[in-house]
This record gives sequence, structure tokens and C-alpha cells, in this order.
Amino acid sequence: MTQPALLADALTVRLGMTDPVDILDGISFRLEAGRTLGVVGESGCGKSMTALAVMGLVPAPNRITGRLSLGGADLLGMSETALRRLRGKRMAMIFQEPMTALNPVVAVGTQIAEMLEVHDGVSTREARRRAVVLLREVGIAAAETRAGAYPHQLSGGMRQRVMIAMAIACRPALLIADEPTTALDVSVQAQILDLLLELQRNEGMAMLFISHDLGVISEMADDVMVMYAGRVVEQGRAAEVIGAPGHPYTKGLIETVPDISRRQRLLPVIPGGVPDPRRRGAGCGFAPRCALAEAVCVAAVPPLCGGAHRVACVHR
Amino acid sequence: MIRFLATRSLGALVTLLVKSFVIFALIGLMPGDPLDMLTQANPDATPEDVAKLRAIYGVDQPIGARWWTWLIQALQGDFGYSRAQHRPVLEIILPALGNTLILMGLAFVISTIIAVFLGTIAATRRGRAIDRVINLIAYTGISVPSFWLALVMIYVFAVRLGWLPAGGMPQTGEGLHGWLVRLTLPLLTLVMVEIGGLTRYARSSMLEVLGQDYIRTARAKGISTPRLLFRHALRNAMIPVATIIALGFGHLFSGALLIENIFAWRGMGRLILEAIMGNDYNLALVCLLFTTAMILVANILADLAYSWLDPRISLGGRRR
Amino acid sequence: MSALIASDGVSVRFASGGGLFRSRRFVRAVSDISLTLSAGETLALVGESGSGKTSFARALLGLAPISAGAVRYRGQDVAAMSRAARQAMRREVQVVFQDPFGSLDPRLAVSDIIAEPLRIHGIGDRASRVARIAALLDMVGLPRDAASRYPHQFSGGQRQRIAIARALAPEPRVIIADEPLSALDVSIQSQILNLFVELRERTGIALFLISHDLAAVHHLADRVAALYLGRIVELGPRDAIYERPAHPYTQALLGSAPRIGQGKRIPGQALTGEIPSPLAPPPGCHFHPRCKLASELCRVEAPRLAEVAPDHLAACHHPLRDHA
Repeated sequence: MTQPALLADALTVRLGMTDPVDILDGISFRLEAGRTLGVVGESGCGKSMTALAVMGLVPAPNRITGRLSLGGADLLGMSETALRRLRGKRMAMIFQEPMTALNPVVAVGTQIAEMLEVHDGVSTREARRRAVVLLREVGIAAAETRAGAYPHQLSGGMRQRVMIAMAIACRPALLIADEPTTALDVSVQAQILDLLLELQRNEGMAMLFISHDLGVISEMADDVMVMYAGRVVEQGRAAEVIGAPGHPYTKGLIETVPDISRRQRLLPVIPGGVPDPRRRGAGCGFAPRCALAEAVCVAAVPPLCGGAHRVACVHR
Repeated sequence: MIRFLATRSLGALVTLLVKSFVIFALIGLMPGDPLDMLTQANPDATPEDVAKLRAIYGVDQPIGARWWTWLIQALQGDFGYSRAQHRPVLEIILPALGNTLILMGLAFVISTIIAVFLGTIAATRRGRAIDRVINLIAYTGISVPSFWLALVMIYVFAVRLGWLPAGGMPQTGEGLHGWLVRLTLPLLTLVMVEIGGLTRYARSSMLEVLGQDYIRTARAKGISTPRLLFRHALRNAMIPVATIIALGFGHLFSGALLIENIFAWRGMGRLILEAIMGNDYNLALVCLLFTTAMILVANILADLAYSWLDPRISLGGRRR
Repeated sequence: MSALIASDGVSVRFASGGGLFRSRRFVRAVSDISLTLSAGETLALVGESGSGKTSFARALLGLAPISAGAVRYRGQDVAAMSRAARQAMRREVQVVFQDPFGSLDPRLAVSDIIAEPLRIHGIGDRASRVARIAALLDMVGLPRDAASRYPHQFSGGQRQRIAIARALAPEPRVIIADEPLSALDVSIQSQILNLFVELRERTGIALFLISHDLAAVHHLADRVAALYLGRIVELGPRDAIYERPAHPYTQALLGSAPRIGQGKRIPGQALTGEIPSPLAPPPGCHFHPRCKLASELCRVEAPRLAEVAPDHLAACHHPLRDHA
């Protein structure tokens, strides 16, 4: 059996020395090449931290335990130098805010070319030429001229395309997209999502797609992982998790989003707010907000159970 | 660009014009007449002679008229004579200007490079021992008065150790070696004082840049730390530092005054002091104007550099 | 129903690029917008970035200069109002902003924040204000002890509730809400949406909602106006707009919003191109470069808002017909 593009097993990330917090607690998932794993959750659930853990960019001081491997290579045991060689080349990441994520004083073409120079050892001239080709590939018109533009001279959608061009420059096996369309207009979002799907199909990349927007996740992901307060509460095929959610949080999340086809006076609401990771109790992280909470829920963390569709809830 | 240069040059000229009048008036307000020294030195001078001299030199005219006369002459290239040195002012100023530029220029370049280097190290190793050491050095530089440091340097290196001369200009025939030897102490003093503040600014600017999203992106691209610092962080961190440096030009020139006098370096600073103390009207006025002009030019260059460093800033100073 | 706020052909433009030797250029942020908001009604303004919706909101509040047309409050031209009249209007027209972190003064306690409009308009005395603050906190679903605390001690959703309480304090007739939900978590957004629904029922307040979130707009609005590059392209009752959009842009916008539970997306249906820069808007109909139905007429002549169905207007030379 071929190695999955990305594999995590009981991944736990502890931040801080003096007052440590488990930002991620026992995350496990499996992502195959050519498929998209959607990670959905609200602020503080740990979805961005998962991405940083994969890239090896978790802020120090930290302690990471468990298993994390990229195409079979153990990421946690690697030296920083080895990780650096993988970053950009085998795994790449695009971020939410393209305006701040691009260097404001360097031309976009140069920033893309840098990937090729650093990882593929290509000459500057050749790298610049390939950067223009990449810009065309991500749908930027007048690529030659645009390559000399600075980020502030481009629109939000174009900046995100530049980020994508930068990320796929070395044809990585894994693309991590952390809220790539959240800061974009709806019509531009549609274009970027289409672009990502197309690139994935052409390159056969595995994609880790992070978003708080259930609609986007529903349309982009093959498999879904729902996170809450640093833990996975539900995971499985997208159609199953979204079509027949097992966890009260997932159900609540799906029902709370206003839907154009539904008519309701008041929306079903998940009471309370997202918890502070420091003040997590001993049991299920969602218990304080859950209508079905019982004594057993608060006593211990419910384990993820199930076959292909796993839910961390005693009331499944 | 042309528009920018034209506007700024126009502004600079107006500033110089106004400044020349202000200095003229200020010097005129100083107690004592340029002619007092002349008459005091000559006990035979009668009040009539003094009055005649006054008329000849035009000292009996109102300030405004005197300034206008001076301006007309200056615009034709005649900056007048130094009363004390009996030579045309221009002849005295130009070599002094050269000497100051050498000292200042080197101090500027060296202190900037060192400060940025130390600031970067401190920022990348924040909180660690080396950061604390660098901060200590910086604070020392900020707190120490330049003249005190100059005297200490002279005491240690010239008097006690005898390694370097206590000051003065290189003599003819000493060649490059002479220059290096004479420059070392004043340069060292200037640099040590300058890097204090600059290092702190460089450090905080670099810290802010390192926290930015695009640095995280660069790390995600797998770029090595040296390349990240040099190509991504530095260029952005230098932008606010460039402003500080530009503002410091004036400071550099005035600091030169003390240093040059202590080390007997024949530069503009020393010249200004001599001219004012000696009531050398013309020399003082033109010296001050030259210094002002240099600072104005330096600021225009700083603005150009600023807009070159940050493509978001158009030359008008506005965000693009 | 009488119109509370009416904008009559309002245009807002900004100067750009002036200087010593340069001529000034003007950017038309908003062109010729005529809208009315009646008592108790919720009108939503939908548009993407660069559509001018925020500039228009500012114009309504008197925070941006109007270059053409007029804003009328209860029949009176705002620009011609006396100082006292304008002050009275400010009391009746309140705002809730997008950023719950920036719109509250971090140095003021919550009670001071909510009491500020009362103080400015000289409403009530100290005792009655305390009572009002407590009532307002109840209304927005915050605990009474929140009054003595500071903004930084609250979450984003709670801060937005404080901002709403502040807006409700002087008993306004209209609340203008500029993207009140976009900075909030998904589960909090629905709480705030519900809050708006309940408040509206309780106080009969009129709501002018500016948002790019089509689902939220659908939930709250009675009437919807779609904005593109400073012009209204479509205006009508909520159901008409969502079920039978007449303008190609509105239709495309509705189609781009990702839906839950519809399976993986099929690429190729997205609207092409980008919103043009307001500095160089395309001639004729601003939307024509991206429109599948564009004809020669569209390139040349800007379409005017015309009725395509009762109360339903669209600015298009080829409005979409009903596909029943």
C-alpha cells in the first residue's frame, strides 16, 4: 500500500514552558494523494495550529508528540534543515490574508522566482521566466508585466493567485490552504476555489483545506474533520459528515448557518461561546454548550468511535 | 520625480533665504559691533574715524538693508571676506567642508552598518544573553556625552598608551597613513555615540518586521534564515530606520562641533565656533548657511531613498 | 409607509492625486443612488468590495460629502438642516460597525460606552440612565455585571452586543449596520442575527443592513438592493431578488455563494474577471466586460433602473426573464 500523502496519529501540540497549554490534543487523520481533507471549526479550535504543526512552524517553545509523516517521512523527528528542504518543495502553504502574507517591497515575480531558485537551484533568469509561466497558469492576465508589480498594486484576488503560484511553483505533494478565500469577495472566492480544484486535478496534489465556512468545506472537501477546542470531534467522508452529522457540535454548526432555501424566524443557536483552551475541563470540550450533556460527558473525554465515519460523542 | 525635485529644491531655496535673514539678524543682535574689536585694538582711533569706518563697511545701515546688500553680493558668488583670516570666506569654507564630510560620512556609514547588524542580532535572539549585552551597549551609547567620551579616548589612547595622536589634522607628507591615524579616535568616538540610539531603533524595527505575516510565508517557503533576514526582513526593517537616520543628519552635524573642537579637526564645526567667538560675521553666516544647505540636501536624498526602499510610498510622501 | 430616510440621486466622489503641479482626478464611489427606508422596514445593501456600500453609508450619516443629490431624513434635506435638527437626527439614526474590537473605546467601561449617546443627547438623569443601561444589557443578552467591566474582557460577539446596546440607548428609529457580522465566528453570527430579529420585533426599528453575506441578508431583509461599482443594479423585495433575480450580476452573485450539502463543486461556473477599479470604470454598463449577455448597447449606454416586475427594478438592457 502506498504511503498516504499526510498522516497524523495522536498529534499533540503543547505551547509554552511556564504555563503550558495543549492547543492540539490527540489529532489523527489520513490524507491520500489527490484528495482534499477539509478541516472545519471556529476560532481557537486548533485548525491553523494543525497546519503549522505539519509545516514545522509552531512557535517556540513547544512540545509536539505523536506521529506526523509526509509521504512516509517522519516530520517530527526531522532536523530543522531537513524540514526546510521540504517546506515549499514537498509541502506548501497558502494563507488567509494575501496582502500581509506577501512581502510588500519585493515584486511578485521575484517572490515566486525565489521558490525556484532556492529549491530547484535554477538560475535567476530562468526562475523569472518560469515565474511568468506560473502566473499565467494561475489565471493572471498580462503575466509579463504583472510579474514586476508589487503586492499593493494588485487586487485581493490577484494577490491570492500569486500566493498560489508561489505555493505550487515546485509542484509539492501537499498543499495546505489556511482560510484562503475568507478575506475575498464572494465572486472572487468562487474563482479561487475553482482554480484550486483545477490545480489539484492537474498536479495530483493532496490538499489540506482549512476553513470556518461550512459551505466552502462542503464544496471543496472529499473528507471532513470537525475540530473543537483542540480536538477532533467528528471525521469522515464529506457527504456523510455533512449529510448525517453525528456530533451535536457539527449538527449545531450546520443548522445555525442561515440557508437561503429555509425560512425561519429565528436560527437555531449554539449557546455560549468558543472556550479558552486554557480553561478546558476534564471531559468533553463541547459539554458546557451541549444540550445533551450528562455527567459522563464532563467526567472524561469521549473517544473517537466508528469505522469510516468517526464521532467523539457518547450520544452518537 | 522631476516634479518632486523641483518642488523640494524650491522649498530648500526659500528656507535658505529665510534662514540667511534670521541668522543675519541674530548675529546683528549680538552685543558688540564687528568694528568694536578693530577700534579697541587701535587706541588712536577717533570717534570720527570710527564713524567713517562704519559708513565704509555699511555697519551703520539698518539690518534689512545690510542683509539685502549681502544677498545681492552672495548671489553673484561673492560671499565676502573673513575678517579674522583676511581671506575670502569661500576659500576657508570649502576645505573645512571636505574635512567634515570625510569624518561625518565615514561615521555615518560605519555606525549605520554596525547598528543594523547589532540590532538584527538582538532581534533574532530576543531575550537571550546576547540581546541583553547589545541593549547594554546601546544604552551606554545613548547616555554617554560625546565630549566626555572624546576626552576619555584621548586620555586612554593618546596620553596613557601613546598609540594615537591626541588630535589635529594630518600633516603634508603623512599620506594615507596620516589620515587613518588621525581619523581613528574622532571616528571611534562618533560611532560609539551614534550606534546607541540607532541600534535600539534597528532592533525594534526588526522585531516588528519579524512578527509580520510575510516572514511567516517566507519561512513556509523553506527559505534559510540568512536569506530570510537579508532579502525579506532587512529591506522592510530599514524603512523606519531610514527616517531616523535622515532626522539624525542635523544631529550628526551638530555633534561634529564638539568632536571637531576636542580633536582639533579642521572641519565646519570648529570653523563655526571660531567664527562666532571671533565675531567673524561673514564667516559665521556662510558657515551656518552651508550647514543648513547640507542638511536640506541630505533630507531630500533621504526622501528619495525612502521612496526607493518602499514602493508603496510615492515621492509626494503619499501611499500609492 | 412614509420614508424615514430617502436618498435621492446621491453621488459621492473622492478627489485623488492632487498636488502642486498635478490636476485632480475624481473617483466616483457612489453614482446616483435613490433608495428609501421606511419605518420598521429592513433594507439591505449588498455588494462586494469597491461597490461603494460603505461610502454610501457614510453619506447617509453625513460623514462623507455628497457631490450630487440629497439625503432626506423624514422629508428634510440633511444638508440644509439646522444644527439642532441635525443633532436630533443623529439621535434617531444610530450605527453599528463591522469591527467589534475597534468600535469600542478600550478605556471606557461598558456602562460609559452605552451611556455616551444618552449623555450627548441629554437624555435622562444619572439614575434613569443606570436603569436604562441595565435594561439595555438585558435586551442584548448580556449579564448586568457587564456594565462595570471593560471591552477587552469580552469576546467579539459580546462586544458586538455592547455596540448594539449603545446604538439602542437613545431609542433610535433607524440603525445602520455596516457588516455587523463579518468579524464574528459562525456560531456567534446566528446569535447576533437572532438578536436583530428580536429587537426589530420589539422596538419596530428600521434597519439598514450593509453586507456581503447573502445568507444573512436573506434572513433579515425585507428589501434588497444590489450595488456594483457605485450603481444600483437591482432593487426589490427579498424573495423576488433571491428567487427571480433580473440582473446578471445579482444572479452570478447568488450563484457564487457556496452551499452546504450540495456535494463537491463543479468548476467553470464562476463569474469571470474582477471588479474594475473605480478610477477607470468601463463605459456604458459597468458590468458589461463580465456579462455573458452583453451587447453593443451595453458597451455604450448605461442602463437606467426600470421596473421588471411590480416593485422590482433592475438596471439592465437585457434583464433576465422568469424561468418558472
